[in-house]
Amino acid sequence: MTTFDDRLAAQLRALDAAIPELALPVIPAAPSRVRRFPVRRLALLAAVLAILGGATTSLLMLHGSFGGDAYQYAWKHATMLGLAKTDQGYAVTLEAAYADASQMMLAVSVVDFWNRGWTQLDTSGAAARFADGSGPTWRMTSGGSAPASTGAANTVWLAASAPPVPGVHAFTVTVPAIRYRDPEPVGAGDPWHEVLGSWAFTFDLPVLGGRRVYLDSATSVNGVTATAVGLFSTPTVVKVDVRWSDRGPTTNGWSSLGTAFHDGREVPMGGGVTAAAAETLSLLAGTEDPSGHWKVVINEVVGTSPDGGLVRLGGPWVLEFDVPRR
Amino acid sequence: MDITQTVPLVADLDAELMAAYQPLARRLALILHDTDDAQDMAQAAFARALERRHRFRGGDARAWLYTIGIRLALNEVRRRRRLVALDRAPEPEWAMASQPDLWVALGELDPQHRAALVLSTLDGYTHAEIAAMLGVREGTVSSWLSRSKERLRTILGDER
Repeated sequence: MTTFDDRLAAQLRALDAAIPELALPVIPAAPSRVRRFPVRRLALLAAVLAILGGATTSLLMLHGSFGGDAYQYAWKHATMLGLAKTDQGYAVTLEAAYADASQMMLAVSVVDFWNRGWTQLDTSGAAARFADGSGPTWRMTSGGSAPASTGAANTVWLAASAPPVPGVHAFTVTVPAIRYRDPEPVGAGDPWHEVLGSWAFTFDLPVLGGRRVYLDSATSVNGVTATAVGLFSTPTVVKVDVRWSDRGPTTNGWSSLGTAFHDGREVPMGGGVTAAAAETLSLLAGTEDPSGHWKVVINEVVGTSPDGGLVRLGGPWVLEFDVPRR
Repeated sequence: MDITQTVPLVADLDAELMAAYQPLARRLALILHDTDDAQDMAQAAFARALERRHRFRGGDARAWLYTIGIRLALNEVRRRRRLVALDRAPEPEWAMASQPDLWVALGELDPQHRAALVLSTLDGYTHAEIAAMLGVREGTVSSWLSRSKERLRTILGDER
């Protein structure tokens, strides 16, 4: 008789086998192996390095360790800045920046001139505003930092509190603190420490526009109705606002599983901002032109019931709508 | 003289690390519940291992890289919890097409517990070896594994 452990092991092996092959690592010390990277990424990387010079390892880490359509688009359209500020021995360089009506990407490298010993440095508290203080505020939503031999590289995404007016704006980006991690990964207490300082940068940056479309496309499955009420697109993200009829109680809202298609091209669906009745589905790619036919397929929604178990409602809810050309 | 301190027991550490990179990235995908984060952490671990290759004392290069990568990953998880509540990660298609119930159930476990489960089930490491990798006591690993399986048994609805 098969035991639970046996079944669990078999299922885990099947899940492991399904993981798609991941890109091979960047190897700073052995350039010949870097050829294994896609040509497109290498060309972009070479361009970045040629423009910026120096800090090679940090920039390899900065660009080489991230992927995805939004990253690719943001890097391709980023403004190269190379602005450096040093405070308390930490040199923070704002290498590049990109902004559209939804979000901003900052590429930042940090070098500790005093070599105080650390395993990671990060600038996750970065925020941005227009230099004159008007308009929305951009705050960090996600980011990653990668350590390198002489410094660390951070790619930070910030979300705008409201869509800004497109065009070239003067920005101020502030990094109010550097965080560093103790050299050894194991130890008692919090290994992260914060150094308050002043690293501020002012620069001009174009903000690419977005497009908002109001919709009314509804579908019902098993008594649960989903209605697409809006779409907001920028070159790096598309968000679809969905209103739901009552789906029952959960402790942490509902998560939708599915995918979307734009004129037949598949656009993966990412995490949603979920509430009881309203949900904003973020698609994992943006578009410069959202016009055309959209099909959003929500195969099922999953939540955690008050007693801790999983609740799953099966669909699919298929929401179809057309976005006209401007 | 302790010969293990002076004679490299792995002839080509770089090649060993390269061979271990994909397995590490796959383990991190399950531990972090996110393939993009897994790739970032695997990359960081690989760079760290190359920087510190002089500290490698021979033996299982894969376990050495796993140790670096999983500790980095778990530290990053703790850091993010303090910093900001991120959007829930997307449920990847490959997981939904393969073992959706198990994938979602794994998401209910603590990342440290997932790490112990993955290292034990997929790689066959002993509780003592996992404890060394994660920097905890052997009894802690045993407890994590027991609780993880009990939790999964509840979520997945398997009979005892």
